[in-house]
Amino acid sequence: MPPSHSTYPPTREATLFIVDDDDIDVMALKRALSKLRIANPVIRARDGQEAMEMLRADQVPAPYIILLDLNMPRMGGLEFLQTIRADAALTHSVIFVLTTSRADEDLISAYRAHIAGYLLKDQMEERFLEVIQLIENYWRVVELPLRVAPPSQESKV
Amino acid sequence: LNALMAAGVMALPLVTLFIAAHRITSRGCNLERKHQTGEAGLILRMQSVGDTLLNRIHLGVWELDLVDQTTTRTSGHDRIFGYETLLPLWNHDLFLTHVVPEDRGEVDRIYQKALVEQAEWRIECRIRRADGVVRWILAVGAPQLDSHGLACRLAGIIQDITERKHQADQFRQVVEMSPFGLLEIDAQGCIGMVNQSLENMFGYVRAELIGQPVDVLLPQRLRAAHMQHRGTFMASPATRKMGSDQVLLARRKNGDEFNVEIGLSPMSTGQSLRVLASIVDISERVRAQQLLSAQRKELLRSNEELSTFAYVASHDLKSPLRGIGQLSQWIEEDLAAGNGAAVADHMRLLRSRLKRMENLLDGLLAYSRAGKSDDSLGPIDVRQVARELFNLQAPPASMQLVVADDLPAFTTLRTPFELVLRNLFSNAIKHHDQSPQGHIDLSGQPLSNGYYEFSVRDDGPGIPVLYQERVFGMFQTLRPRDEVEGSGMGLALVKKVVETYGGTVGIDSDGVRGCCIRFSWPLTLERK
Repeated sequence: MPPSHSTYPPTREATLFIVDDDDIDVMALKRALSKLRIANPVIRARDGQEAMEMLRADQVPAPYIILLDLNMPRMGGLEFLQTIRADAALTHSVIFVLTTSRADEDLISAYRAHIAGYLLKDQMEERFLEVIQLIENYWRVVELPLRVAPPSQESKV
Repeated sequence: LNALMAAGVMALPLVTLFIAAHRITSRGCNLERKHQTGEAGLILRMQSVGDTLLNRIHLGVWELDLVDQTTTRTSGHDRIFGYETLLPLWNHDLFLTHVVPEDRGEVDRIYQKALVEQAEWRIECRIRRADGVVRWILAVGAPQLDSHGLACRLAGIIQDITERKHQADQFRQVVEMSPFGLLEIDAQGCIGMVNQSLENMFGYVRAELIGQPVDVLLPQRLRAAHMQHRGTFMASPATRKMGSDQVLLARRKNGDEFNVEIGLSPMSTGQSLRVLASIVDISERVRAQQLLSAQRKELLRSNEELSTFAYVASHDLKSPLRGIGQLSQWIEEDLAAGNGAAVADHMRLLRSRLKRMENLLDGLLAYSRAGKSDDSLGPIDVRQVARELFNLQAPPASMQLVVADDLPAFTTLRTPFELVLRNLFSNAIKHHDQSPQGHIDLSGQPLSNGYYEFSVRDDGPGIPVLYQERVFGMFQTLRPRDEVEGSGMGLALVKKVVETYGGTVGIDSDGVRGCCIRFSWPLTLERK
């Protein structure tokens, strides 16, 4: 047999990386996941700053999907988007924004940072389950990137 | 000839010439004109055109022989008094009867004095002509001395100067009635003329200004610079606005300073250079502009605040509300599942969200009111007030406040000042990471601009430079509210209040240990 060209390891469950300062929102998310019998690993950061630190310290196993709140202490969601897109090692991250903000400027700023989707939090239980269902379908269907090495300095020159 | 008249008595030798010509003809020296040569011929020829020319400029020439009291005059002389042909007789008394009664005494006094002193005279007065019309005349004259040095004749010129007088009057009225302050200076910067508006504007009467250096109208500190500017202008004088775009300052007699706009027009009148400055008091306009720009700034700020309000209402206020909705649903599910333990937990969380909501609303309300209630002007001793406010925060017993000895006692708006200190203390206590241990210092120093800078320094975790700007925003917290309950309005409130009274707020912290928040507060405040 010819050697495999695939560099992908066997398919792994995507990690859900929740970046949200509100405990109840996180509880709600976890409840919805368990209702839908989704057993993906869930990791949480309380603001953008903490999320960046965890990502840079490699504490979030790839492949992962980031569920990002916008309004948080220290580093908010939009600032987090700027930071992560400017980080060569993390720029490919798949990010959904999960927020209460219906403000157009937030929505547009978020999509400018190439998010996968902008989802509103304030729908109650049933709609919220749909939202989670959507995210689940997403990671089941699409191929998520694994952790990739940042382009080396030499190749840039 | 006009120039000669302006020179006044200097024209007397010419007068003598005309008189001589007249004397020749009036005494019947029948000399044939065409045969005349030399001086006598010139005199005669001049006489033939002289009368016409003299009449054209309303000039009359006369001579009085003091021995026989007879007078010789040109026809123009009598015409000035309204007589088409020469009167048979003319003398000083007859002249005086033509002078209007108001001027008569003074005219005679000057004339008699000149006679006694054998000196020249110059009079401007009004006469009533034969046709009853009042006219202005200029009369100049001088005695002529005989070989013994005694006056034997008087000679003089009179001129009808009514037109010139009217023009001068008109000019004077234009100058006097001008709404602009008008000021004339010479090349050395000495004041030559001022008008009524200028007197009113600066609070001087003109006698105090004429002959003075123009710098008296300037604030002391600007005089040296002005002297330089004046030199530059005098070197290449041109009509222009003074100071181009900057706001000029002038000084009234009472020392008050005010804003002016000044136009400069060089006037060269043949002699030395003079400059006419027209001055407008624009302090009202400047005040109005300042008010307008202050209002504009306030409007921009309040618009900004409004849009921030809308934004935070959709984020920060909604968040606990959504939590409450969520929790109520879970409680319903817990009850259905008979999970009593979970119900208690969820109820506790629900109440914490209600409390948070209340805090946020309180913060929002306090923020929107900040800087609006200022009815509490009163004396405060900062050291005492600081201790009271600190104790009101119910700090842990081992948390210490050190108040500097030199803090002022002053009269200010008590409520907003206390609000600022209270929020700073409460922050320092609440966010201290070594609580119950901790030190908080309150110190300060006077600034040069009439403000006092207070510093609240703690030895807590500090605020990293990265977040130092953002902590002054509404509802900004550095830690999740689930960890440290707080509205995130404290520093926003402090900033708004301090800036309302013209002060500034700043942070000194390395984000590792300790934080110092400085704010400046006016030492004198007036009730709005």
